[in-house]
Amino acid sequence: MASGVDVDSECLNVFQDLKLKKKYAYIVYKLSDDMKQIVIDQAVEKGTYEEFIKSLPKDDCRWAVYDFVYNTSDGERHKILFYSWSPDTARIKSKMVYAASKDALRKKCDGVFTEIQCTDLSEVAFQTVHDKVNRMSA
Amino acid sequence: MAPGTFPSGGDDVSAIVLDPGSSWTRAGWAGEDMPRSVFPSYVGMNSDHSTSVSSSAAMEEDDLVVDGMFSRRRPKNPRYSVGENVVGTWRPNFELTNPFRDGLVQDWDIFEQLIDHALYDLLRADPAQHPILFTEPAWNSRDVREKLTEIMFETYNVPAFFIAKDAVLSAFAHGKASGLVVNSGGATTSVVPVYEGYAIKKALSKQMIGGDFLSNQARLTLQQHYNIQITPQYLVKRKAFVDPGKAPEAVYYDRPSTASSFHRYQVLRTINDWKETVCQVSEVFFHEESLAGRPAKSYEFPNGANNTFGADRFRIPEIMFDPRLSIPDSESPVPSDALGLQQLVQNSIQSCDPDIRTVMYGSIILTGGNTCFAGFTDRMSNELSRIAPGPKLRVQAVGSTAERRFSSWIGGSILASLGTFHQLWISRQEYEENGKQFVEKRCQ
Repeated sequence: MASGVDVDSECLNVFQDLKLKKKYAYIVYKLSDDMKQIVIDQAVEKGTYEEFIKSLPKDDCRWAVYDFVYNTSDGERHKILFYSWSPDTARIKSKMVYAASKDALRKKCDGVFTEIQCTDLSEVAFQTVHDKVNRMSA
Repeated sequence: MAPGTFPSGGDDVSAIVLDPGSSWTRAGWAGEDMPRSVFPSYVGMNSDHSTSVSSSAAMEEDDLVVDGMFSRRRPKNPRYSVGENVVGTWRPNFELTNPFRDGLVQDWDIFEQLIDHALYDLLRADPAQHPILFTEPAWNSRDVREKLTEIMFETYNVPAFFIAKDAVLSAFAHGKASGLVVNSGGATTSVVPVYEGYAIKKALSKQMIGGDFLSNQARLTLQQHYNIQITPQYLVKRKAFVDPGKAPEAVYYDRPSTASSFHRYQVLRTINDWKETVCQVSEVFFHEESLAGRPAKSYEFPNGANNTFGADRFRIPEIMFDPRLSIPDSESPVPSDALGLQQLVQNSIQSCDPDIRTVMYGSIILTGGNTCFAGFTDRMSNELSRIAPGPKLRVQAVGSTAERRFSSWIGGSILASLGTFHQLWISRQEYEENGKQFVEKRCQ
């Protein structure tokens, strides 16, 4: 079941730039104010993981795509991760519409390694995500 | 007109959201925060002798119906009475009945009385003017869904219709496209994995241990441990204060020809109040001796019988986690395959594809009135971390009792109010072109 919310075509363009051209470190998406479309909140060219976490609002939902870089014994690795950020303090309407609309955006982002469904900072923490990526790559 | 749209003269017409459950039916307008009305899913059967005795609430409603502002599409069937006040008012030979079995509609005639009451008496709406969104349990049958679709378009003449799985609505309302929805209501407790907005039917588990079962167990406990016979308010004319544990000294009404179903319903309501006031779930493994040291709570029944309740106030909800604690009762026996809720959860998750089990453990959502006992959420986390020590656990339950009891209605209300959702409704045109079978395709 879905909400019928549409994805603005620019969302896909910046995703392609992140994926193919490595132009962005991360992209944060949001619902438009009229709740009809998914639009870009911010597309950040250079930013740390801490800055990414800070860009997630305390009391509202977002989606994000992060070009996750980590080191292994074989060298540096890139994985594209998709985040659904839905803190408990967000309004129920926001939680509902974000959850029901996620698939519309997600299915357009081809080449995502895994998804992170998160409700608090411990679930987006670098170490938590790193562990998950490692576990899945093993 | 684009497929799935429905005519709405310029301004958007509000949709109606109906969330019928085995104990309560929730009804209201899409876009509102809470249902306008929550009424018992019981219908009173008027005997020949009692049709003339109508409660003032029912009279008032009849007056408004003829007042010209609004006309009921169908006249009230004098055989039936619906509504909290009406089904709660004693009359001779007044039987109460409930249209659901195992959470599914079984008696359509009775079910339509609930819909009529919600639409005509409470919302005062003409269903021909408003799209209607229904909720359904994940295990609803194809027959029931098709029949409901047919009734909505043929009998109620709705312009558009949708039916949404209550587990999916609850997951969404908690901000999750994927998660495990544990719903414990009056009749049924179910565990439904939701993945990417769809209920995984093959992995759901459920059993008939819910609030009503616990209430019956409470009745037996009060009788056997405290010598308290539940006497509902309708029988009590005047109560007297007596010391705890002493026999009540109340004055009772003579109520001959009371229907047994009416009495049972009243007993249930009385016990529900006791449960909600004194019962609590032990946060850790149930241990009678240590719980006896926790503060006891006192409670006075309508006839004045009163006592303080210690370990027993933990024992009743404990049956959810350990059904073997039940007192044997031939009228409401423990299902032979009954499992503790933690085991039900574990079984459901193990029936899911291995790839998604971690997601399920990480997003366990509690909903339904029977999960509102203090301590329930903590206990659930503790039990699960004991039987599934590996994965990262997260048991989520919203703070407010109302949101927990109404999460599927609220979810439906938000969804049905979205402008973009219009394309998902089954329109009248689509129904006429494709028939009732279309519901299987559109509402998955």
